[in-house]
Amino acid sequence: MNDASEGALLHVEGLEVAYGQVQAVRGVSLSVGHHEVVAVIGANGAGKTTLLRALVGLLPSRGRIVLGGRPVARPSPEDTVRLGISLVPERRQLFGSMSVSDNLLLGAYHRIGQEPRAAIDEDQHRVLALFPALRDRAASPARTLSGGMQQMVAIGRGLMARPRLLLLDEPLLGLAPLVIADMLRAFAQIQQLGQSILIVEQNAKAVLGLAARAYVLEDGRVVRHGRATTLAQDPALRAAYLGGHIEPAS
Amino acid sequence: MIPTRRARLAATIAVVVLAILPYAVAGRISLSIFVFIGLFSLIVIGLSLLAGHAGQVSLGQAAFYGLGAYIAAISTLRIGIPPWLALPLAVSGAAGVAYLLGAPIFVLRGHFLVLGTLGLNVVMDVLVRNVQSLTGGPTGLTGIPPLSIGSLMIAGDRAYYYLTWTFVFAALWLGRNLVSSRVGRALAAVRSSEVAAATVGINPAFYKSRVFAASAALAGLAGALYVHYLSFVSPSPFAFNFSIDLLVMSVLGGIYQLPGAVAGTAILTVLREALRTIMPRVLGSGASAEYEIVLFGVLLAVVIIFSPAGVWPPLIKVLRLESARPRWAQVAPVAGVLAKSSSSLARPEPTGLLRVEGLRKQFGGLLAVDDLSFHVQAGEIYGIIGPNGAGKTTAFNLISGVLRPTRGTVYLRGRKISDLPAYRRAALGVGRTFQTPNVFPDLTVLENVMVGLHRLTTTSFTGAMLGLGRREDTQAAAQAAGYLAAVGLLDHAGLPAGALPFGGLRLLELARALAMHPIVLLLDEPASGLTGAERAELVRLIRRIRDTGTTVLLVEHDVGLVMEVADRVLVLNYGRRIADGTPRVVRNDPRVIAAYLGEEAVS
Repeated sequence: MNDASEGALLHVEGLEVAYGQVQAVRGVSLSVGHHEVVAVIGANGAGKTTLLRALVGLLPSRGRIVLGGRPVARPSPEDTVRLGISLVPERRQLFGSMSVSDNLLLGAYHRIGQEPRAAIDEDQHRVLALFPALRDRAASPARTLSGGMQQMVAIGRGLMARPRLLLLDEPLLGLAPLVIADMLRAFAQIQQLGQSILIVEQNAKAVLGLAARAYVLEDGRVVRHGRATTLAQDPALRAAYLGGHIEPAS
Repeated sequence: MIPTRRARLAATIAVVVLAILPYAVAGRISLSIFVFIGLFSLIVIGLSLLAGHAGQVSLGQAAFYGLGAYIAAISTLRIGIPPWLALPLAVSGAAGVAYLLGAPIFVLRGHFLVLGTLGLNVVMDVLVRNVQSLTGGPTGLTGIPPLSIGSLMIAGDRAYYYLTWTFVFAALWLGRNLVSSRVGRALAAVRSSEVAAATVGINPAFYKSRVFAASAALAGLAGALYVHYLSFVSPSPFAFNFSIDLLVMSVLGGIYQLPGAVAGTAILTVLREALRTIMPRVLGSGASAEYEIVLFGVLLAVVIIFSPAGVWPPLIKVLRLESARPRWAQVAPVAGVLAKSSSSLARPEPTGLLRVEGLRKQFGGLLAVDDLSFHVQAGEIYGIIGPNGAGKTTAFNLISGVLRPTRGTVYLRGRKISDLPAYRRAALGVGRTFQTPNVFPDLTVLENVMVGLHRLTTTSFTGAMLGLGRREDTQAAAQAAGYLAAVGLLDHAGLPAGALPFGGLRLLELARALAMHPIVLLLDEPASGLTGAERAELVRLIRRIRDTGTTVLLVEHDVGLVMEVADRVLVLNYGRRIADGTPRVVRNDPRVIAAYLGEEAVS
């Protein structure tokens, strides 16, 4: 085990994921430090979503995944939640007919019965403090919420598992500029509370402003990685990924 | 899919084996079981078309089987119609009843057919048992004459064996033609999303009711053949249980492939016969019926667990009969599909090409769109922005007919369209994409675009069954490939659409909508999920689309993109207009900044 994997919260080495004959992720290595926000950017079909799904065991993969210094062998989605990784999936995937507060509570599913109810309730208050807009809608069915609020519920549901590492898959997709600004503020707050974030996002400009480091994925391979500020200046990347999004907040 | 040479050879062998079978088994096994496999196969082929290809599950196929049987029996015995005429009468009678039953059910979306057909079984059974003067009641009718054509009498096991299997192969041929045609693609579209199908101009009810009638016709045919073969009829073979048996055969064999219907029927029928001889020996007489059901249940469970699509797909794999490549893989794309100018620019409308007046949509207590009026000129790119939940997508749904307005009117070229169903509006030239891409995942990328060409192609349901649409299909494929080239997806033409990444789905949906030659194109967040380079390509594409004469309405949160391409912008908040005008005006409007853009965004 090298230094990187010992110091990092998540260390991935040589991850391979295939759909039948099609290789979607090819030998990806990356790490996420404690209290760190790391971004993964790349074109459509580059393998970003596949990477996240493999990390939580939704897809079978080969390679080494080390979390908190301990190797995770053949993770199942239930195990990875227990180990402290929680995925906020692409396009939210809420339980539409259930209330906002039930959606949040389900995020803490594996904690129910293991921890005092008060601890779970306290986390729910914390989520509502992070997203105050949800307070008035706690009893509403999730599907009746606007897209922005649904995204807040999805992230809140992820946080309810008390993860050490939050995986966000395209959390800014289809959000209004004002909501994007709110969302970026919330991510910064989550980081301050001690959690790490690995974020996959098309809105590269927004996430490069937020993340400390970033990886660029192309055809399932990491083709570039480094400090976000450095990558944001890279002319090739600017042309490919930063074309003209309005930057909602600095 | 194009069958390989190996597959053709296998099919030929199957036909030859079936042709010599009566001579091979002569004197050892009764041929009647093979006649029954053929008869049931006919029904199950119909069921596969209906449930597998059109996505409509029926629990009434036994009733149509019975209907065909009783029509043939009554018309020959009581009315004295010659048997060769009774056969088409039975077929059309069953089809007609199905059509009449289906018409009201298919207007609804969802699984109402199951309920309707469940009732049909009961009605059939009660009628047959109680209208004794006509049906002979529970004891049934005897002495039904065999089929005859002129002086040629069709009687005996061997004659009905050949006749039935001829019909089976004809049904497979017709069914295969249908499935691989324009109509088959429309069915696949209806199966995966009726909303998306309607927005490319397909009337789901039209196709569902026709497939339902076709499946009933096959069941009716089987019923008529049955009574002429056995020369008697009684209610018990057509009971509700048999409807379930048919469904089991269909699922067991593989509901998505027509030959699977024959395989499933053969497995279940042979197994049942075998059990009837074996079970009494093992468990003592009288025990067979109950254990038979248990065994079928276990068999079905095992197949569903290990091969959810039935035994046919793994069988094909083991025998290495899979198609080598998808159809149309080699088609040459038509160049310049976007260059053709449609007529909308030639005829300017004084009051706007698209006019929305006092539009309102209420969902329970929530007012999603409130007294919204605007008009869009021909050749314009019209942006609609606003916070999440402001009613933008609802407005698109009201214009495209996915939703009916609570109040208010939508006019296209001066014609009121707000009371028309979605498929009619699509036919008049309203095209759209969805915020969450709504493609047909089981069809290939190319076929998805071919579905977009549905309105511009003409092969009828019957024509498709007879295989008459091939030439038109080839042209459509070339056209569709042209649209794929225009959005940059041509390299993926042969992939199942479901395998595309998110951004690819958006482009595919766009190509599908363009293939309709829309007058107005509604794009719902086309840039979301696209990266910088793809987004720049989208901007070029939207301009090109406008230049062909299509008017574009654009809902988008990428404000930079909207400001870049839109001629005018409408801003919604809480379902109402808070601002409209040129991008510059809207961008600096304090209400828009407060409600949507935020202070930082304005530079």
